[in-house]
Amino acid sequence: MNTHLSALQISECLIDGSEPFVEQHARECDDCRAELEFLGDSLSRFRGALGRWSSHVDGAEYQIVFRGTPARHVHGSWRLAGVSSLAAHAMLLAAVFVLGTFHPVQSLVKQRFTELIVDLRPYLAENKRHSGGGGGGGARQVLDASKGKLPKPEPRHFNPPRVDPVEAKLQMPPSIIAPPDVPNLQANNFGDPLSKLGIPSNGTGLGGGIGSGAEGGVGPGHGVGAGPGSDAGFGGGVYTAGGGVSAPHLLFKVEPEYSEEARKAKWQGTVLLSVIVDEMGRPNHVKVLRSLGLGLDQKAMDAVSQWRFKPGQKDGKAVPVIATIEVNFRLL
Amino acid sequence: MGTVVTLGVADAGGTGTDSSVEFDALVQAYRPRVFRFLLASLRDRESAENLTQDCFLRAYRARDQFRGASSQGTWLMQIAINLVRKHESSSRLKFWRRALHPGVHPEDLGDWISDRQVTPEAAIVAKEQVRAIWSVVAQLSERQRTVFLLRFVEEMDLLEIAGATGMKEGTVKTHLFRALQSVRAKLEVTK
Repeated sequence: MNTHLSALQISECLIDGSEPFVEQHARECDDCRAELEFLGDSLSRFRGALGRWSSHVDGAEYQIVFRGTPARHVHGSWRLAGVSSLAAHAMLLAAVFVLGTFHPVQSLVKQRFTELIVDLRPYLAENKRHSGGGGGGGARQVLDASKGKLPKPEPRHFNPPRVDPVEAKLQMPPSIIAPPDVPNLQANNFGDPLSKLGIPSNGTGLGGGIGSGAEGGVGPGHGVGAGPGSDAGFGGGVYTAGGGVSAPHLLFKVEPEYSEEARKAKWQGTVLLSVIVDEMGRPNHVKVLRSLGLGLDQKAMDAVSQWRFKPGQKDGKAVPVIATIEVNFRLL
Repeated sequence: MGTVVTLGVADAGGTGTDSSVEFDALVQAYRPRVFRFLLASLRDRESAENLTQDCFLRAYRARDQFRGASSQGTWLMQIAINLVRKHESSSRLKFWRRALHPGVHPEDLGDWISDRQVTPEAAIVAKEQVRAIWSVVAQLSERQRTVFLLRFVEEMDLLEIAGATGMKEGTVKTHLFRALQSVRAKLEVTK
């Protein structure tokens, strides 16, 4: 009787009765009896609490057993539902944005939704920088115009530039009518940036200004701008279609031939060419923008060089217009 | 109960429920026990109610196969145990249950102790004991919890538990012993 019951023996007493001597010990040993009573009481309180809870929440009638399994009710708190919903939507939105940053997705969207990208060029205002223009001037001097910087481009023209500035009480800085981002060079004196002459001269032209042209601009053109061409702006360039300039219209076309190498290699694709259609409707300055290789670029250039266009027009006058031409090579 | 259709005559053993009236009596007799066991196992009133109904529906459909090898209570409890296992093995439900009830017990069983305690101190002690057992039961494995509940809540004997769980009597005893050790250890802490 000196030793107390082991854990196993106490458990056996509670679980399923036990050996007679264990039960006898449990009756006689105060410690072991107290331990057993404590455990038994605790378990019976647990049983009682569970029973009370169960009978409290069990309000359902047993008859509904025969209706089969009812639909599950939505349970849980509304707040939790709201927070979960918010989190789910935020994650979804974030996923969409993150997906949108991937390049393959962007290119796919661009491919699929080309109709969203509207060509606004016909509706845009005239773009001076691309639509040519030009200016010219001079003071009927013997020498060509000297090299120098262009006057400040202004939207309005009052005072033609001169290489040798005129002393005046009220200085009116000379200007040309050109876009503000016209290419210029750093120099102390005004002049024609394209000239090579260093000796100061206003040029052989007339009407004030600098150069061999007329009307008070700079350069060989006619106008108050700079460079070749007429009217205003920065000339010497060609026009692009749109903004008051009509696109060249194809009149005569020569089909490109297939090169022998490309035919053998069954090579297909598109050559993208850039041409300048001049005032006569002839393509000049044919350049390859996107090459295809295997001699097809040259074939495309040869063919396009023979094409004839109705030139692009601005204000009823034929003007040189730059255009891109796609030449498709397909093996049938 | 008029909507119930008698599916067939029970087997020759005579213990089967061959009429809706008998089955009605069975439901009346055993529904509280089954519900209590399911509630204690799942700790969720909705699930316990659903599974109780499932249990009796299955019993009703399979009543022809009941051979009377065990008591009706054991048979029903066997169905309930299988339903609990199936319910818990569903990983989808497990995920949502964890998400909805992260680590807290949905019910504080300490609130349901008998109010016939002698003193407030005794009431607090009783409450602590019940809470301790309830928290241990939550941490037990599914088998240990099942045998513990069947033995100490439903007061079934070892043979009945063995019949209901499909385990051997020795295995049931081992599980019970381990569950009881956990409970004792926890109760020692709260003493």
